[in-house]
Amino acid sequence: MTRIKYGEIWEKAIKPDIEIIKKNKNLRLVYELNVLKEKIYESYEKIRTIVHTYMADKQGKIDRHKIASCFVFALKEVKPFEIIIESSDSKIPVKIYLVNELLALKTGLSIIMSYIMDNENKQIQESFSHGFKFPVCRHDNYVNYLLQDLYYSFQVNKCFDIFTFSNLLFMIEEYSKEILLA
Amino acid sequence: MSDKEKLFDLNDFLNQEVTQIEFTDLMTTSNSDKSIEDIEIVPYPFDLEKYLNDKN
Repeated sequence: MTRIKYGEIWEKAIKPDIEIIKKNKNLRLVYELNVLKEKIYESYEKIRTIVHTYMADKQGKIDRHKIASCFVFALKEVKPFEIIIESSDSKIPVKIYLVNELLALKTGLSIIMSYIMDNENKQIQESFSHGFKFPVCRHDNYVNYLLQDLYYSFQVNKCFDIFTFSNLLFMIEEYSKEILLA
Repeated sequence: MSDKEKLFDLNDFLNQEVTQIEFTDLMTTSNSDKSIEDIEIVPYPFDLEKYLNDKN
């Protein structure tokens, strides 16, 4: 990916969220913004290069779901935020603990959404203007399960599979199409 | 295509006999015809500020 394109992803899909998140008193940005920007790019390029070795045409383009999955990996690997628990905080919301996962997932979804919006069909653009549809779960909402999955992938299993998460993003897109374009 | 036909397609795929090199080729992943370099990036529509500040 060219630095120009990455710069656009950073400015439109990553940095605005970081600016919002860093206002939270329980979260601290670990790196200076320009250092963080570079670290995410380096991590993305490293894993993207590995993914290319598994492709039919190794010089060809990788698809949207793998690009998104590589960005999810990069954000999770770099871990932009750390949690600060002050003595006055008896409890903090679960979503604060999972903020790196949220930032990673939202960046991945932005990549997929960008491809969908790059469609001249106005009906498709309007149908997806409020985001994706997720399956209804019995005990919690699906996005929370995705965040848990990302958390466990790194913290517990020490393993994040680019291809599996890419497949999951494909399923989210296709499920949304089934619902939104019915 | 019916479910039965799809199942048979899967059987055809799994029953193919290939050399180890051909198997490696089969297991590669396909390329995309559209480059992200040509795509305008749009942020995912989700109100992060509201989500983080929401007490519920």
